[in-house]
Amino acid sequence: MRKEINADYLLWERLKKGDTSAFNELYGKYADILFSFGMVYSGDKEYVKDCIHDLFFELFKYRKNLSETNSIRNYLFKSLKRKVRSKQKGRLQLIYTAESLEWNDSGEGDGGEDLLQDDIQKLAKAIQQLPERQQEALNLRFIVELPYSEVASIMDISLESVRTLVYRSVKTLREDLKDNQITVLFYVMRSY
Amino acid sequence: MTNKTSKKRAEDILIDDDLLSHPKGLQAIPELDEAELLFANNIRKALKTQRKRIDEREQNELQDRLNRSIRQHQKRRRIGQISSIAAILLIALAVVSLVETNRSEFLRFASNFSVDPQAGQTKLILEKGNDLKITDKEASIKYSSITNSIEVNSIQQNTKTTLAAEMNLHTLLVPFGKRTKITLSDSSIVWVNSGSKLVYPSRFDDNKREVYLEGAAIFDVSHRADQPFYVYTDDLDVRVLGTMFAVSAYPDDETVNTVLERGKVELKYKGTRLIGYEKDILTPGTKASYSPEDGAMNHSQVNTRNYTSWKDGYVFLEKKTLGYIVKKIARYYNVEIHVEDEQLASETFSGLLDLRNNANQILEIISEVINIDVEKDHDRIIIKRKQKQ
Repeated sequence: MRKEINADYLLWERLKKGDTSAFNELYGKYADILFSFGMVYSGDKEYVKDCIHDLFFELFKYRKNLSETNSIRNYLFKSLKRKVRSKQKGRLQLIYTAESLEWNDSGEGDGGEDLLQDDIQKLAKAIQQLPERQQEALNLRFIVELPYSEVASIMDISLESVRTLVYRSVKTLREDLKDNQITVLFYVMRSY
Repeated sequence: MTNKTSKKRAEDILIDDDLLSHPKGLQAIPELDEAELLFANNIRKALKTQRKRIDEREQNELQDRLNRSIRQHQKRRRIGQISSIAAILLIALAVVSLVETNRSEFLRFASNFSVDPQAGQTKLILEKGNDLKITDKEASIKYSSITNSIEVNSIQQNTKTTLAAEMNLHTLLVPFGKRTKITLSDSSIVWVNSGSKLVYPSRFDDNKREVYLEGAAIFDVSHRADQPFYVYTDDLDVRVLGTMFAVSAYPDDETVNTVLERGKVELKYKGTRLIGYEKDILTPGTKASYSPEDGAMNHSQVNTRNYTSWKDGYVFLEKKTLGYIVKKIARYYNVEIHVEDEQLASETFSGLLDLRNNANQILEIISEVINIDVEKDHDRIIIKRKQKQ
């Protein structure tokens, strides 16, 4: 992690000097995760792409005025969140789709290929009943797979508060799914 | 971290970074309750499937778009800077009375050497037939009265030649496809464009500064009230004090164009008079088109940037036909370009061309914006309308 921060720091310094190759490196490094991250806040693919375009363009445009930062990564996440949410005021758009399962067919072994689409839809429905902040924390931690410390920083709350949000959300899910006699996620245990 | 005595629920597992990052996965931790563990694991996996990805093609497209935005931004900024400098330096100067010149003598000397547009090298002819040759596309030549020398700088060569003590006329010949920026002994700067000839003295006279031009050049003349600056062409003379302007007087063009960016110049030409000359004052932002054929002089307001931007390595085009653009590229790069479709040639476009690119790159950039195919046939470049798929 330390090493990565240092690499980012050097990129940042080069960028501030107007080095376009540093700029392209930065884009190559973060485009993928930023897109996934942006899609947590909006269901509109093209819109998220526009926001990423604006984010990087402004980064270049105002590079001389950029303050010192140890974490470009954190800066990028927070700025993108602000951008995505600024125009489409209001709620999180957490859209769960069965089709996104497809890419997992060829993916690594720990994907969700052994989960039934139907089960995922049920889980998705249950998640959508959760309070917004809980959804956000859960999604950032498990969809985008950001560590808790980053989720906390992005949501501007303490590490403990993030854990509490996720704790409550999982507890609710567990209870909901049991109460509704949906054995979804227990059912799959056979596959081990 | 793990506690064997109290049962861990799924929520306990999922908020524990240490457990989540266990190298062998959650199922490898024996003390966890199997049902809770699997529930936790499955939530985690189900959510993971929901990650939306940007594929490689989309990622590249977005990167291209981003780089285009940046390039455009940089060009816009460059123009902004140039025009603000021009605005600051805009000086209105009094026009002093015309001093008789030894114009005809000057012109006679200028006809000694002629520019060969197809020559592969830029040539600087000094006294006694002493020649300096420059093969690079762009070069900068500097006359310095302090070090008493001529410095030639380009990518491939850096030379310093000592100036002869006496005053001599020097000739600069720039063929098609090349350009030269020259700083004269009074520190006036002249950007000499492709296919042009500039004749000037190695040191200027105390009373006046005189140069001869055939082709196109941009002058940024240092201000010396007591030493006016004259640009002679075959059909028209320009008298200046301190100013920035462009003159284009190609022998195969029908008109001599003078565009003034700042300052003040006086034009002197035969016009329609039988005896004597007509004189005109040019104001900034104006183009004077003189047709020696019928003596007609036309003034029009123009965007001076369109005429001077080539010195900064780009061309600003405002509603120009593809045919015009292609002709310009052909002259600038000394390449042959053919537009196959006449209708296509007459379509108009606006934008900036970065002349630091080569002709192929420029055409590629154009083809990105408009629907054309660029093909290469030996030395010829052929432009076609894109076939519909």
